[in-house]
Amino acid sequence: MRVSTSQIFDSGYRGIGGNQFDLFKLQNHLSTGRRMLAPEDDPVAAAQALVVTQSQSVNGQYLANQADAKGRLGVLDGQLQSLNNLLQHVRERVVQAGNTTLTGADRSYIADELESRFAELLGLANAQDATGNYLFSGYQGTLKPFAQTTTGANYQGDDGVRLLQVEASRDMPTNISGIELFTQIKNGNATFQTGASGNVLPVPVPPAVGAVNTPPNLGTAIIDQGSVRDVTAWNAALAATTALAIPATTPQQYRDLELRFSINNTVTPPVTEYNVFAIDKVANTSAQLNAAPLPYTPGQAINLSGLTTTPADLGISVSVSGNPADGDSFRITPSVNQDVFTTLRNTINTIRTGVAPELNAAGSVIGGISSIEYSNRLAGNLQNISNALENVNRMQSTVGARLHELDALSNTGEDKKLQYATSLSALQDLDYTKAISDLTRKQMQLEAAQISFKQTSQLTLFNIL
Amino acid sequence: MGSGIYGIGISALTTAQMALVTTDNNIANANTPGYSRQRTIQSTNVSLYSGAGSFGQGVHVDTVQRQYDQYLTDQVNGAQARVGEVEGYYNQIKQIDNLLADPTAGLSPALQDFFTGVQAVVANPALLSSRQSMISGAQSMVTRFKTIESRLSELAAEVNGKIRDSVDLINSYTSQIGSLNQQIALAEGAYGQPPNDLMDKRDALVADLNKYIKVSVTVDTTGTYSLFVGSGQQLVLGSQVMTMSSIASSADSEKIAVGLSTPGGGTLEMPDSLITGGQLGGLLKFRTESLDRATNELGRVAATMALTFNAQHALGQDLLGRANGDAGFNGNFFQMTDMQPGVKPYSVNNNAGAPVLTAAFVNPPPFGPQRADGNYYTTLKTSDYNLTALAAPAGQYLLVRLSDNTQWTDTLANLSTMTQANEGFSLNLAGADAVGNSYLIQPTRNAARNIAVNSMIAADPRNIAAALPFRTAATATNTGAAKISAGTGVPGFDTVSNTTGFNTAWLPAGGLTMTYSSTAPASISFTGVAAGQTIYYKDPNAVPATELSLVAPAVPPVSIPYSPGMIISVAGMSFSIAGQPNDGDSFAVTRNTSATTDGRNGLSLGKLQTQNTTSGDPAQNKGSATMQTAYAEMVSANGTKTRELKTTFDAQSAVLAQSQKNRDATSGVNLDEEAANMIRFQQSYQAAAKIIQVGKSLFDTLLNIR
Repeated sequence: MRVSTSQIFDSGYRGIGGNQFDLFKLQNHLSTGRRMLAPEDDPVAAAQALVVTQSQSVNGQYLANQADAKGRLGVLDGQLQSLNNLLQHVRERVVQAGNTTLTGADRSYIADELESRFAELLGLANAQDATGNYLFSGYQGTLKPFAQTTTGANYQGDDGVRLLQVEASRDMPTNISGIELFTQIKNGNATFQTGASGNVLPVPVPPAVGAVNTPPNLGTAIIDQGSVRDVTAWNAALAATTALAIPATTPQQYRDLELRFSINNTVTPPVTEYNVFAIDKVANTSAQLNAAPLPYTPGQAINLSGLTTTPADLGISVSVSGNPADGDSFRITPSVNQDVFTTLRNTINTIRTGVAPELNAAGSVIGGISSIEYSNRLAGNLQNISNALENVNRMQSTVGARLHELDALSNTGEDKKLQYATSLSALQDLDYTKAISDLTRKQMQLEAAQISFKQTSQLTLFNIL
Repeated sequence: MGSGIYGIGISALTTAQMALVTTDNNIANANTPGYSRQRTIQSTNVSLYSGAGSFGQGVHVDTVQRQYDQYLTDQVNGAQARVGEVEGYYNQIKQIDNLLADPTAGLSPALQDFFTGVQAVVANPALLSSRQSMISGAQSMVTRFKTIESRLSELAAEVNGKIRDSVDLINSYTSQIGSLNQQIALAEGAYGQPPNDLMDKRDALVADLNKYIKVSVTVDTTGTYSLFVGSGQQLVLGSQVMTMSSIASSADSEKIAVGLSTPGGGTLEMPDSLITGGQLGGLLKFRTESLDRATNELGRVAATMALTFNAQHALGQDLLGRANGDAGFNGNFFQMTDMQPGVKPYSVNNNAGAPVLTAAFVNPPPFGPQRADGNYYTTLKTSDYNLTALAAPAGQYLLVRLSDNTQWTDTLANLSTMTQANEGFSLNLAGADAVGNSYLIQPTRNAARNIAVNSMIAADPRNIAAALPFRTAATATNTGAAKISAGTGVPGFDTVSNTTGFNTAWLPAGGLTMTYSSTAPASISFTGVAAGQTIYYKDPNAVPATELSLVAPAVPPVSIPYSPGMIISVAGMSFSIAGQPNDGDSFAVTRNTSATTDGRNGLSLGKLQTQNTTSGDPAQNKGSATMQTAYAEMVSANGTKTRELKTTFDAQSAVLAQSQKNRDATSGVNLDEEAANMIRFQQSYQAAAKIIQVGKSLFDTLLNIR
């Protein structure tokens, strides 16, 4: 088997050249710290690295959004807490205003303080965030949500929800709309509202919507806020037209129940009785629901049952205490939404109206209602303020739940961040131990190739001849 | 006898001398590439026959023989052609590999930064700075697309240039081989001896030629080489040489193809598949298999991004309160005018009827089957298509998808319907076509080069439609506990015009109102829905949860049954109503006026990053890969091919080295062997000289006899 001289040199050089190239490549790996200098080195890992990088970036985006959402909800939480404090303070003052020993001047001081509290409430409702957008105006961030009116405030924003994507399938709301927080507060006991509706004698005149009988109640009876025994029966009674003899065209909020008290002088001693009427405030009609007058016991629960309606039991009960005069009446109205500004305005008006005779600072009479009527109204206002406070609490717990969820998401997100970094490192980073041992091996190979080349290339017959 | 001695001596001397000369030549040419060592072939002279025996008359040199094995040389040439092809392919594809290697310079970071900008707008839709950052992100993404594509275009130009250079080299080699053929024939005819040096030169030229293109050699009885390429096209026949030329391809004028002159005159364009081996074969394979595909894949990502983003963007409302249907609204975020699929008519087409074939992208279909299921997807593929007008059946066309050779034959209208559903583009012919006309359709080739941000939006960031044109609300006097969701935008339902976007004409000034009635069966009735509009609704808790629909009658009531949590889609809007309303409760859907902090459409735009928007399957109504995944597949496919080529190159280089070793074993010069031969022939010469001296002394002895 022959071998040509050029073959000896060529193959010798090829070996050295190959080893040199490998050594050079290894050195490149070591100096960049990368396992793959180009996708060619490991195409599958290169594609995987790209996908992991995208997941990492998306995760980072979610973490940033979570921090952003946390910030906004934190600001919201602060506002809600201020609102909470404000309403609690208002409630204390209203309780104070119900004290019968107060003078007219005292009441006017309370009313003044509540007036400034009203302005504070309006300010809280119209609060802005760091970028100048109103917090509670829904999608119309440049529009001031609440504008003061004579009876309270008008909401000019919308019900929009500002969402941020904090996880692949979770869009988190970062705001609360003004409608939900300030206006969707049911009055009364959240199912119905009670109140005195004036004396119906001599002849009961069906009142228009919203008005009450005049003159006001003459007795000393007070009605409580009432309770619901069977909500299904109550809803069914409100909905069915036959139950209250009210046509379906009258919306539910215009269907009232009225308790009219009368003194039966035909028996001795005289017995106070009451009758239950259904009032249609749109058609201005009333219809009696009980077959016979029912006896009245002060303080005892009046269950509206055993009536001529179908169903006979309306599912609610109220309690009246004190002594009603002949013809006194009390109204039970289904709850509607009443915003907190209207409630506060009503409260201030009640306190300013005062107990008769209400005297101003100069000593002249400026009005006043009976002390019983005053207590009744104040009780109603207090209930509504409590409802508003309850709503704020509810919103606070919603915001709290969201913040809690964001914490959990952030924890998961941080874990994922670490995992992705680890995966990426496993795909991309060089294993230095292996690389260095490879380098040593290649070095040795190169040296061996070079030395052996030197030796074999020197062997030639011409040296000997 | 004396003359015998002298004669023999002189013959020995000249023979030894010639052998020495040959050995010297071998030693001198030991490093000459392509040199085959030579050896003198000597044979005895004709003997003198006499009664005492036959007496040899010395020696003479028959010929100088070239140590050459045709078979081994063919092996080397074959290996050389394969190595040349793989090396040519590898050197080119490595450049794409390097382009895609750097994770910070590739497409991924630009995509991610763009969507980060989108999320910034969702977080703060009213801030002009967030909007501007989204536009900047879009522009840098567009620039990145263009940069990568321009590098690929440069590679295409480089391939064209290298093809020209290779063709020129091939031509020079073949012309030299042709003239050598002639010279060798003449020399051999004149002297009767093989002209070794010329033959070595010719073999060297053939070996060099194989580096550029695979040629098969046949040797005829006169020793003339004939070279053939491809499937038998002749390149050199004796002294007749066909020239190769680099011409613009008739299918795609941007590509240089190889042409071969024919014996009858004229040039024949050689199809790429016939040119194998050598650098030319490698370059053509690279262009067809890797470069075109990479450009198409990049274009597909660009086209999908533009199409799906535009479709979702058109559903929104900009900061100035305008939506689709309002004057001045810019529905397209990316400009699509130059991005449309390219159609290249063949240069040999008959243009008598002025036929003009155009292709256009279809609007991306939405995820389905229900309206509110999600974003959009495209069915674009990464292949080019060939459309040919057939002779029979008349009026029909043959459409071939070049990546996997799938074929369809039908009328152009039916083919267009099929491509709109399955391939993502439509075909339209204006003018009269002639039989045999062919067109090359490249749907995504130009997309990455021509993607651009809509200049109206780039100029004024308030034009970004991050909000939705409608908002929902529950009426304040509701007494029940039902809630209506914020709502999302979905493709519109107008069956008259195209179903791709919300239109302000469908939402009357008073908005839509939905009223709940508890009278069994519980239902929701609509006011404000135009007659003929379709209302889609679905109860997600039903088993199975199918989407039902109702076409709004002209005469009210327009009502659908109510189920808690139901999803309703009408007039381009989708929302859900959950909880239990009370009889008479109502909900309103109105125009979203003064909406500066609404980012709902931006939220949907941001979700395009992680949704499967590419490689859509119309049967399943969804895509199968995100844009990022599609790009990663491109990188991986390219990397795998590069790695495969590197391995093949190493293997083929080893084969080449082995065959060269085998050839050199026969033809190579070994200096030690030549040294030994030199000694041998030197001794022969000395011995031969001695013979003459002996002859001289014999003669002297004779002369000295007195």
